[in-house]
Amino acid sequence: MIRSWIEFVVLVQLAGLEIALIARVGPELVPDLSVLVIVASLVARDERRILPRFASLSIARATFAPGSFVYWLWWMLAAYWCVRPFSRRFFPDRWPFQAVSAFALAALASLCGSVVLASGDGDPYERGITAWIVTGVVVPGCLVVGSLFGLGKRAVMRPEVSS
Amino acid sequence: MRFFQDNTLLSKSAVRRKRASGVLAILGVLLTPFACFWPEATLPFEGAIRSIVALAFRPWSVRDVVFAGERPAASPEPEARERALVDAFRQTLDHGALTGHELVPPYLCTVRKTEGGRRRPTTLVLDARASREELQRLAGTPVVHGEDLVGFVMAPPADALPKGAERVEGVELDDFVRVRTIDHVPSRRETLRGIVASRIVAVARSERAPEAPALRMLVEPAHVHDPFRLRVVRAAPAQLETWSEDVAPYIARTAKSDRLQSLLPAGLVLGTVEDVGYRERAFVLSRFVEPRFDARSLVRVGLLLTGRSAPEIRVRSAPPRGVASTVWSSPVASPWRRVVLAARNVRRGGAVIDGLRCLGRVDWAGFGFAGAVPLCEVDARIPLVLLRGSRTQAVYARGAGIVLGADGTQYGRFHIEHPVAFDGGGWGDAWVFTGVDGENFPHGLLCGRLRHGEASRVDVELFGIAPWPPQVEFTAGGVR
Repeated sequence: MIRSWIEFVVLVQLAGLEIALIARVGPELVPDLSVLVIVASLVARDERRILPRFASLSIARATFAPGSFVYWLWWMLAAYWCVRPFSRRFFPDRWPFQAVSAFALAALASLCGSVVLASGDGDPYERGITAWIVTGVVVPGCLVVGSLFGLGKRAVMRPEVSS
Repeated sequence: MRFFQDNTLLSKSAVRRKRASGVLAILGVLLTPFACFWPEATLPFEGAIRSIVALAFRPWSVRDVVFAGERPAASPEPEARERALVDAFRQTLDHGALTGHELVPPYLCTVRKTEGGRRRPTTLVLDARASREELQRLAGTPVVHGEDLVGFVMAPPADALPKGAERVEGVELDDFVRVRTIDHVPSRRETLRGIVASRIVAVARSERAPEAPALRMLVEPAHVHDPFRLRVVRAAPAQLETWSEDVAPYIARTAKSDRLQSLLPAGLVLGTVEDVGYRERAFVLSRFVEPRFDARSLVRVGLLLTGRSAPEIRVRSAPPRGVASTVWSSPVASPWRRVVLAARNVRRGGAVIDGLRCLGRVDWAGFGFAGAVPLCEVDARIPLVLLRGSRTQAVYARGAGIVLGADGTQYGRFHIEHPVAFDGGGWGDAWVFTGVDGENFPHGLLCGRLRHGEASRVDVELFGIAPWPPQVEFTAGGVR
């Protein structure tokens, strides 16, 4: 419970930071926070925590940026379920494959998000090709940093199935 | 250890994880139709959760919530706004058209709200109360906007206590003055009560070629499924080409008729004549008239009290206001604008005001926090009034977000939904005011200045896009 609240506060602050960076640096150089959270959830593979985490970021985005809570939550869940089948081969022990696949999936997820938004009334975040690439580059870096703090520990463990 | 459904032995945490996975999948499926077809949907408890987000983002703002409302409000001088509106409205009156009635100035009333269908409301509720006897006396009085005939004052219902009515000192029965627009089609219940659609005798003349033959006609409200709002029942001559470039548009005005409309002055505009038929053979199948006003955009209307004494009408005071502190505002360079406010008694749908100017409207509220968005929010509908010189134009606009101009200036973009044939190119540098949008949203507030316009799209330099002051005012509001 306490961990969920801490995550909530951290995600709200990160959402505010993302908007500040978009305004200062420009939307082309700011990574997609939702993709970072989705990949982090894939690494952790603790699906009990995914819903509060996605809901926290969705409500923060709906408060500080265009788009409703329902839309953002759906988008994160849909992206998560699209990427989830790849997660078993996503983080094996070989780090080059890990980095390349993380880059590809993160960039693709960010690109899909922009395409879905642009098909409506236009992507409010105005992300372009640079932003998708930056998202793809930042995600593997965050995984390395996250593994230092034990974020990906569950990912390399075998499933808890006993015979 | 626990057994799962397929007799696989799993740990307790693994079972929970599997269940969570199922919940996520079900939720994703359930949200799909909402995300695809109603992406702007808001949940009923969302305001409360967003206030927790605001508190988590700026924890020290709880102090502003506690002390909200204790600071003195800025004085926005509502009378000055009213005076400016009245003066602007009087300038737009075409006194030449009201032959014989220019000595009787219209009694100006503010529109409180509209009733009827959301896309086509046909009843205006004026911001004025009158006794039952006075309403009976006012029934049938023509109501105008500029030189356009809007409708007629409704008679009070004979049987039940109408909505909004109240007893004063237990004796007198008061109600708001209601106006039925000329395009109102009586419902089945109204027909049973003997209320029929009003028919108006009119004469249409070419605006471009005054020497062109005139078209005399009898006009009544069109059916909901008709392409225009008024239809011509009889016309003489029946076949007269009105759509060639030499004569179009034909403007229909009321004609003098002692038998059918003795109280209605001649020369009031009903609208433009719209014919349906075979253009190449100049054969008219059916003839319509499209009024120039939209009931959703009218701010003030005038009662033409020809030969009557001044009505005993009581005008309602302005909606209550409060003061809010700005907790957080999205950076100026960001491609959108969101503001979080700390305020008490603020409700969704209210307006955020900086003195005389409208900055935006309240999007969500809860637990002392509120979020505000500019008027040009994507897909938000707002009635606006354009004022340029002595010309006014009421429009119904749909927000299209913030766009960046060639010089780096941010503009609020609107798509004009009504009038359909609006040309924004002729309204450069026009001042933009708010129209009527619910009874608690203040109308006639200055929103910005129109900078670029083309066809049905206008870019407005909105005051709400610029950084907001640390303290703003808000109106009580109501659900949009």
